[in-house]
Amino acid sequence: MIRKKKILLIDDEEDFCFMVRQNLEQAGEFEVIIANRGEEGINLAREQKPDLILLDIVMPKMMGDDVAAALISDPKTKNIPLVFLTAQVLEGEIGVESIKEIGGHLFIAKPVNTEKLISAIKTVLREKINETKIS
Amino acid sequence: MEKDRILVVDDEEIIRQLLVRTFDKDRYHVEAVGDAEAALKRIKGDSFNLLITDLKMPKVSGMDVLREIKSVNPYMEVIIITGYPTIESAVEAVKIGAFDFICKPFDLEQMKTAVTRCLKKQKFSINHVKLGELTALFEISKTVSISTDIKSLLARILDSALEIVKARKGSILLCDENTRELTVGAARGLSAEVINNTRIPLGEGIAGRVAKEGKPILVSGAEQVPGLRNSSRYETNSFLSIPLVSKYLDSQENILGVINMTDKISQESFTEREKTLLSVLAGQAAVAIENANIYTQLQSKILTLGQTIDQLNQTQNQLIQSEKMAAVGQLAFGIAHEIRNPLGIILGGVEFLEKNLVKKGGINKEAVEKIKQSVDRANNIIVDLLKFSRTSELERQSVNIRALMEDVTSLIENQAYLKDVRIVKNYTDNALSVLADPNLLRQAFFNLCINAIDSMPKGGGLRLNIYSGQGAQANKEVIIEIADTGKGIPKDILPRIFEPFFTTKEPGKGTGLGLSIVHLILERHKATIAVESAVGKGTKFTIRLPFSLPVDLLSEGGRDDKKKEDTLN
Repeated sequence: MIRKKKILLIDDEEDFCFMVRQNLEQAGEFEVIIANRGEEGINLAREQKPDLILLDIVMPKMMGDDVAAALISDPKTKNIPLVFLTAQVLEGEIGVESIKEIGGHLFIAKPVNTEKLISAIKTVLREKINETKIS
Repeated sequence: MEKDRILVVDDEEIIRQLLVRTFDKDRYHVEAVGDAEAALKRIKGDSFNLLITDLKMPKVSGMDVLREIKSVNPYMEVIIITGYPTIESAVEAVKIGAFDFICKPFDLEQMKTAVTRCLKKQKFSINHVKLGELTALFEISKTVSISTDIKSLLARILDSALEIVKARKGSILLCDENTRELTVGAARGLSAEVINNTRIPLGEGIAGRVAKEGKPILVSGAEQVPGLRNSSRYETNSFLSIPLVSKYLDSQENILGVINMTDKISQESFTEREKTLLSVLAGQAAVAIENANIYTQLQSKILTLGQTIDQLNQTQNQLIQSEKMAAVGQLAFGIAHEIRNPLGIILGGVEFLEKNLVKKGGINKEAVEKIKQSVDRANNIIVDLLKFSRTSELERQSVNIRALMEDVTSLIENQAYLKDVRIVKNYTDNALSVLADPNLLRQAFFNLCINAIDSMPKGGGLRLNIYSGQGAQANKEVIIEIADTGKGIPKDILPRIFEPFFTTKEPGKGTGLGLSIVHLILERHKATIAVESAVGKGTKFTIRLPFSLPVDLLSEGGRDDKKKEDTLN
């Protein structure tokens, strides 16, 4: 049996987190762990070593880009791929370079349908595997 | 009382002496000359009421003298005397205008009676003429006082003055407030060179003196004024100059200019009476000129005021617009967070329900789709708002407009095909590259093209033209035309189409932000957009996008704007 991919979702919207977990887990390939605050997310990432982190940007106290910076600076978490998930950007609005600058792999605008989200997660995970192989 | 002046012309000495002695010296001034040439010379130098002339004289006949006199001064009376009367010559003389035709030898009483009658008639004629002049003056005053255009007013005053004093040449010189010099405001019979170059300092020459002293000058002969005969302006020997005195200004600077008259048709000198008449006209003219000046100043003030008000309105509109923009920006950001998150939850929820209940037949699939579509619709409003608020941030790079438009057409091709819209492209061969934000420009062109297609539900043509600016605008701007054969935009709506939230689409079909976004994007690029539209015929948008760099500095055809591959669609 293939190991389920562990996804860490850091988002202050509890209901949103709940729905995403329901849908991703129902798809069968993912295990979703949730943090509603940035600091909590960083700790969970260190402890649980997820395969991928879905990270909201606009959050109270610690913003998503600060969380990203903390994760990248930590050797334990720096290799975990990051996908930003936010309501304030438009599709295609932020280029690859800008996302990489803040340590991300992709930007997804909310609301996003499950199919798209799964496809995005898989794409990033595949890229990550390829990167690891090359290096 | 002024004496009547009589000139006698006869080659016979005895007749001349007889006639000079006949008339009462207290009532008449009588002169006599021996031939026609002397008579004509005398008449030109001085003014006479009556000429008594012999018909038959050596060289020039009395009939010729009569003809000459009537041509230059129709008011001067002529009595012909002859020793060889014929019916024909008598008839001819009367036809030309002789008062009487008297045969030699004549009875002195008969002559006296003829002269008395003749002068009486002449006085009557002159009074008639004076009445005519006054009537003319009155009429002129009336028309002059209602004129407000200074140029035509001056021309009218000048023509009236020439008419009143029966002169051929004249000018109105105006006093320049700053230089205190006289320049030509209107002229008749003067060369363009004289008109353009005349600048007379106050106090110099006749006109300068009149302007300085404010008193009219009548020069009856050139000899009275040194240099006048040689003046390039006038070739005459009589000259009349009348000041135009302001009724409003202080005494020091109350001279508006002068009216100059010269070259009298009769070649006689100007008279005191004409000086008086012209002074009356000048009084009226001065008022009219000042009124016209005030009117012109008022007009220009009103114009300036109008422009200021326009500018104020424009600035106010711009301020309102930027306030609106700032508000929309903040609103968009807040709304995006507050609405897109719940939308995400709704979408996630409905997907969850769909997966778990539809299969079991517990939920209607159509209902699920409707929820999803509504989420899309709500999200699109937020997307438009965000786009609208994002147009202020430009990421400039070299963009090939033609390639960019190709991008846009590839995005709309399918929609155009479905709506039976034919796309006609006409791009010039030039690699027209500008420094611009490719994403925003693409957005602007896309919005315009989609609107165009939407306006042609029954099919039509979408014409896309791209070409370089012509003439002075060559190498300065690229012109993009997007024209459709759709419904067109009614005139009353046309000025509002770029307003945020203005839409003619049905509720739910548009947010009213599409064209505002286009406008904003172009504004950020210092580009202009013009729209022409005719209901039932179609609409054409013309965009003029400036090259921000010289063409040769931009990479030809190079475009490195990023594709959307980096995100999900």
